[in-house]
Amino acid sequence: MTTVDTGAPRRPRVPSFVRYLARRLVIALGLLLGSTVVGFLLVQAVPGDPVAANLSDEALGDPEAVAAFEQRWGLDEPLPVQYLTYLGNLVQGDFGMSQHTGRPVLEDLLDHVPATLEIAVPAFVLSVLLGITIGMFAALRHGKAADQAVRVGSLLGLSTPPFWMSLLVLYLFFFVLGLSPGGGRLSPEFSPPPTVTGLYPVDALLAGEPMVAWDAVQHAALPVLVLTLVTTATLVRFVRSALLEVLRKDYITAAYAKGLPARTVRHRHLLRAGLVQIMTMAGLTFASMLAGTVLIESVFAWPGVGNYAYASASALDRPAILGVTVFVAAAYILINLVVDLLYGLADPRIRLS
Amino acid sequence: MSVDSATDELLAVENLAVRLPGPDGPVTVLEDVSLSVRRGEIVGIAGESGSGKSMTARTLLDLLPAGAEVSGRLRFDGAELDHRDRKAMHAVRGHGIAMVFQDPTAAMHPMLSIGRQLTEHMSVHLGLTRKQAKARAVELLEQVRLPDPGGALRSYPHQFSGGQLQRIAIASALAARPKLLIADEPTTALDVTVQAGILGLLDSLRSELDLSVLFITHDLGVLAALATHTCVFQQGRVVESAPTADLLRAPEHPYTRALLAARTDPAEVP
Repeated sequence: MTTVDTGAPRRPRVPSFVRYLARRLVIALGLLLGSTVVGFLLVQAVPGDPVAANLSDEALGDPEAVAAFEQRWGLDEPLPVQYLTYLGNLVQGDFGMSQHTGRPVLEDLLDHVPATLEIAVPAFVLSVLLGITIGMFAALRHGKAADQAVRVGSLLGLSTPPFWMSLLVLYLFFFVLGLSPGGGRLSPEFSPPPTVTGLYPVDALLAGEPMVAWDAVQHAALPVLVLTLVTTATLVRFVRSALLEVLRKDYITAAYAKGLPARTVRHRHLLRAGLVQIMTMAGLTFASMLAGTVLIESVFAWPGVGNYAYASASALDRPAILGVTVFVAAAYILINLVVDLLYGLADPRIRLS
Repeated sequence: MSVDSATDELLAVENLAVRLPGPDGPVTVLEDVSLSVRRGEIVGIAGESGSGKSMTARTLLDLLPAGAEVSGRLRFDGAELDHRDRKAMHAVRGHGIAMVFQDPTAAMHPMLSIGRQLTEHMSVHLGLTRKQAKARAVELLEQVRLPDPGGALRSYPHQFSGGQLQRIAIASALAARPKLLIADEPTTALDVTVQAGILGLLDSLRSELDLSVLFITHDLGVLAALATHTCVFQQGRVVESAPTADLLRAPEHPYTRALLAARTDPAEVP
């Protein structure tokens, strides 16, 4: 007996992945433009007068000096004109001059971003690997002692203030054990390697200076450790709950019922389904790492984006604040774009619909 | 309950009891359940939700939640099956006993291709190469009467309708040549018109492959044309077990009568 199902069989359609990506790209560009507007307007709300913040008392008494300063930064023009001037310069890669370093903001960023990458990339890779491994371990032992231990441990990591954790590991590894060379990116006896990537260990190796590379790695170790601990704690909890949700799905039961080895079910079925959610969270985490972790960077005297943002904000340095804002927005948007792309690769429902 | 002649019998369950951990101590979900399935026979399990129908299926596949306590005897394909021996239980999964779920859209992995989901357990159970598995998958899809089997293998679950997916799920369940197919309300989530097709398919597969089917449903009427024998479950117990025709004609237990009375045949609704 045969019966034809209602409705014509739905054949796979032509993959529209390219269209999906193009749409994402347009949205990303729109967001980027929007973020410059918002950033620009927010910076207008920066309390205090940039003139007063940047000129000496003596110069402030001199109307000519004040007028010269205002003209130099375009402060005497209406806001929309100021914005368009800023945007025009921005597209050409000109972020303006930092008022507190006296250097182009772009150069400052190019100095500080690699420093942040130097600790963010290894910490990100480590915490994603640890987060997935530990989170999956806990989810598969839901409610058992091991799961409880992971939950308590991650809560502990999550609720410990990062700056306090930084001080603690610095005290332990630097002061008590003497294993760490302390703060900064390099010991004073070494000078930074010639810039290629901006990452000291890599540049030092490229320059044939393994001692410098090793010193840089030792300096990075503690901030990486703290950043990894903090981020892993977040990711573990997220991975655990995402996978617990997947574990309740019929298709996981079905995979076990097919008699597949538990390993196959875990890696091919469980992790694959959880990955979409985990990728979103991992992307956001990486973006927040790129925004700089002020508290960690300041304890370790690490000249990263966070420290630069903090210094710029303290100095009411508008071009620098705006530069950091645009950079951070761009980082978030770019990472989200990458996550969207990975989504499409991982999930046929996005790739093929 | 007496067990039919040993040569003919595929599955025998005797005095099965299952207790699950609850917030206030263990909860009995199955008690004194006995049933048997012969080769090439469709046996129906009927009852309302929570009556232990699905629990019985899950016990047979060792898919119970952690902490479940099982007692009783299982005999499958001429050998004792020790429910405490997880390795032996898992060896039966897919190869000896396979399962088709209620909602095919939930039971197929949304991100894995149909081809992958049809073939992945063939290599485990049958030791087929990739090419052999693919050929068998095409054969299976033809067997469940799915149009364009080759194209289907490259597709993903969201590209099919519920009825088509259930056919694919049945093909996947049959992939490792099981002797017993447990169908847990396989038509409940489908349109009425599609239901008849799936029921017909199961019956023809039974005769083509000499397959035994344990058909779980809350709808006694579905079993009328399908199952030779029917067990009615209530609160984790088998309250009536008889040849389906007898059971429908002269239900003995008041619960069976209530089930029959409660049944709304969609065909009878104007």
